[in-house]
Amino acid sequence: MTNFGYILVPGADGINHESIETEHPDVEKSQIAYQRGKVVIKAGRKFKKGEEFYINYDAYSTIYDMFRYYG
Amino acid sequence: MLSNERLYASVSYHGVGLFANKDFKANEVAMEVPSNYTISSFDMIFPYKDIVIKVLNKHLNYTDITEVNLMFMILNLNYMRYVNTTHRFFKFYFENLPKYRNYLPFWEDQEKITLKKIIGDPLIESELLLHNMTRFDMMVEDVRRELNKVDRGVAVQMFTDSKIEDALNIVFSRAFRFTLKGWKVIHNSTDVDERGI
Repeated sequence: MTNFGYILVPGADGINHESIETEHPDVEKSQIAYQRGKVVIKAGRKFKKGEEFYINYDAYSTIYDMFRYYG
Repeated sequence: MLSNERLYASVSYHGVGLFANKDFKANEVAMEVPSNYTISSFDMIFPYKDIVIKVLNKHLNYTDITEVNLMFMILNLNYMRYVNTTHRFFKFYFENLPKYRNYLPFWEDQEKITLKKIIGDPLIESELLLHNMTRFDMMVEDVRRELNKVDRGVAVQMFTDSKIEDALNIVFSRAFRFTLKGWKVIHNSTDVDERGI
């Protein structure tokens, strides 16, 4: 059984969700990377200056979780 | 950290959101948050973790590790929020969290009694029990009882029903799922974890 827990990442927790699949193979599984000493948020697709920046929560959470927590 | 050069906060269709302050290519880094500016289930913030582990051992037959880690997340979060309030960054963060309560995990006593009865019935699918928070509620009661014995002041400061409920709202609406391996990576114990669960 995977030892799943939770992490609060101030700043990243203000990013809203979109369902669009990520474009780049390096961020297909996740737009959040855990690296030495830091948490890194990557763009899942191209964004224009002034556009709202989104991440896709489905990469970190199952549909079951989304339903359970948000209805 | 959140840098105005890359992203800025503003009013969005969803209420508040972050906006690109430059053109981004796919896979380009938009934000870097140092590990000491995060709070997770695996941090060693709450000082009575050993006592809680003993309490939770008796729940392990009918819960899972994720729910135990949810308890540690709330203990770490509320200790930082209500007891050890010296961290200026987190003080600012907590003061500026949106205030809403639309998630109510605590069940009525009669419902808990009923559920305790059916937990012992082998015909009841364990999946059924995943659809409520009653087991977590039971853990809360046991942890509170033991915490009251060792440090009643801390229990009152950070472990009331309303503060736990508030923490659950924060975790379920703002936290990301996280693995122990991820924790080891950001705290320099192992290599990069790109899975980023």
